[in-house]
Amino acid sequence: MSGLAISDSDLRTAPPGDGAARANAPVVLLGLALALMVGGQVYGFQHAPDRMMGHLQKIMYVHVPAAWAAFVAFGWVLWDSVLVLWRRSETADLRAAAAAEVGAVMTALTLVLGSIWGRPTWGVWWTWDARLTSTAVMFLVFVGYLALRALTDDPERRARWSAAVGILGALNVPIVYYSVQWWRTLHQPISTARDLDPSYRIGLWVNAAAFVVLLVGLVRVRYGAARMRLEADRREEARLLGGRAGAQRAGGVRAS
Amino acid sequence: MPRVDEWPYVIASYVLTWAVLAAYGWYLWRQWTQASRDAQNPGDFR
Repeated sequence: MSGLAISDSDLRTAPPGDGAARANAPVVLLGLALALMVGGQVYGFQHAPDRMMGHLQKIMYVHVPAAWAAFVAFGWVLWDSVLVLWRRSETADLRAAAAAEVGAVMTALTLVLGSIWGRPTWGVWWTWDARLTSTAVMFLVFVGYLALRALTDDPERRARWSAAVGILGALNVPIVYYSVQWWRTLHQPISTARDLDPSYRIGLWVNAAAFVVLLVGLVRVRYGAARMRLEADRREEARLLGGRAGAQRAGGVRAS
Repeated sequence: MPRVDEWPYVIASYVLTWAVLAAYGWYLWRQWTQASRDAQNPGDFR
């Protein structure tokens, strides 16, 4: 039995499979994300090309929201990792792992989309620029986080180790964000929605909202699946142990 | 410098985004349904 505690907050965030409303929540979130993505992308494609970048500007509607969603995911990992170390919450551990996985997917997407944008803009698919390199490091830290979880079967040790790596990994977020200010880079400096032309601003916000809602929906599905898998494993273990104990009681297990 | 054809890069970005999200969503959905089935039918999996 793991030493991780099931707290009151765990009970409030019980497995999504417990009720129809909980089970339907990810479907509602994913449906909303899909609608926002389609709407945001159609809106974004209707505007004139940018004076400097031409139609390449449209890549912003997927590249930037994917990066922001990754930042949100790793902030989530940080929060839940602190809860793991502080309250030994099993729910926080499972949720941090779910957020780390979805965040890693979003970071991979950000890197590849940035590469596709960089080729016609900078003339190269990749360069060891501060923003690109720090993002790649952040991605590798979270790949390591996921690999680390597979290294041990002890749930408590796995939770503590991965919480420590999760906190370290999340500390990369401000480094990635401010890398364009702290070092000389090819990547454009930090820009806010105010720097954008209003015709691009709405499209960016709608797409950013879509990616964040998508992130929450995907984390809920990932967490729900992990929770159900854990419960199924525990039930199976209890059934096997119960069956063996019952067999021993009935003299069904012979000494070899 | 001659301007590159921008559309292939834009289209590749969107196709890739949708393909990655659809593939990952499908993978998660399969994990969910498999775990749900196993949780409801103990002893019936693996």
